[in-house]
Amino acid sequence: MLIKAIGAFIVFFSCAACGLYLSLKDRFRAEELKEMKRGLMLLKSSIGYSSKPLYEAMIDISEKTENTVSEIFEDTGRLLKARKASSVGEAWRKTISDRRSRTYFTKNDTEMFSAFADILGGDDSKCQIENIDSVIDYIDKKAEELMRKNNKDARLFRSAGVLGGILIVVVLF
Amino acid sequence: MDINIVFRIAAVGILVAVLNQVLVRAGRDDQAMLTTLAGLIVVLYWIIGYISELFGTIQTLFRF
Repeated sequence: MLIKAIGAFIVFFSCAACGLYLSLKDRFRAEELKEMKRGLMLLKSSIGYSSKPLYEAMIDISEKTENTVSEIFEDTGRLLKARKASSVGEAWRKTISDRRSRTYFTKNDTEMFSAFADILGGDDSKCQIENIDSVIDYIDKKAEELMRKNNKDARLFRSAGVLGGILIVVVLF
Repeated sequence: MDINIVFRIAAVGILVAVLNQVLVRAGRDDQAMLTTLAGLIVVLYWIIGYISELFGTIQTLFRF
């Protein structure tokens, strides 16, 4: 009986935790996108107003940003500095795909970021800045969409997690 | 017949009803319907034995 009760307890809390995680997932993604936007804006100002090499600018940005976004900028900067990648696009793509499992970015996000890096470092600064602006627009749109979706779905996932947990316990107990 | 089954069916009914309302309010009518259907199937699975027993009893009642 005691083991059954412990099992029921574990099932209930697992379901509630799953619901809570699902309700927070979109918010985490929105926060990460905003951090990436911050990094890109810093990169934009570096390209526009300073004459630093790109790898140095990226390492500087990694110090000003947080979490995985900081790691993405740092790794790309280090890869470029060590000349382990043939182009900026390759270094950026490699870092993004390495860090993908540790971020909340979706496939669409990573594809957008990868496409952006192809132009980075190759063309004139005006073209690069326009390219960064288009990625920032994408981030703004996605972040707004996510916040709207999160407001609608967060309560649903939390309630569904708790109720689903109780339901499974009742059915199996 | 175990009386516990009555309380379990009541609990499932209440939970499925609340879950259904939560899903409908969130605009997920399809999932709400699926949840209700799942609840119904679970409860039917529990009581199918008793229903069969009831039919057997009625059959023996009219067999002289």
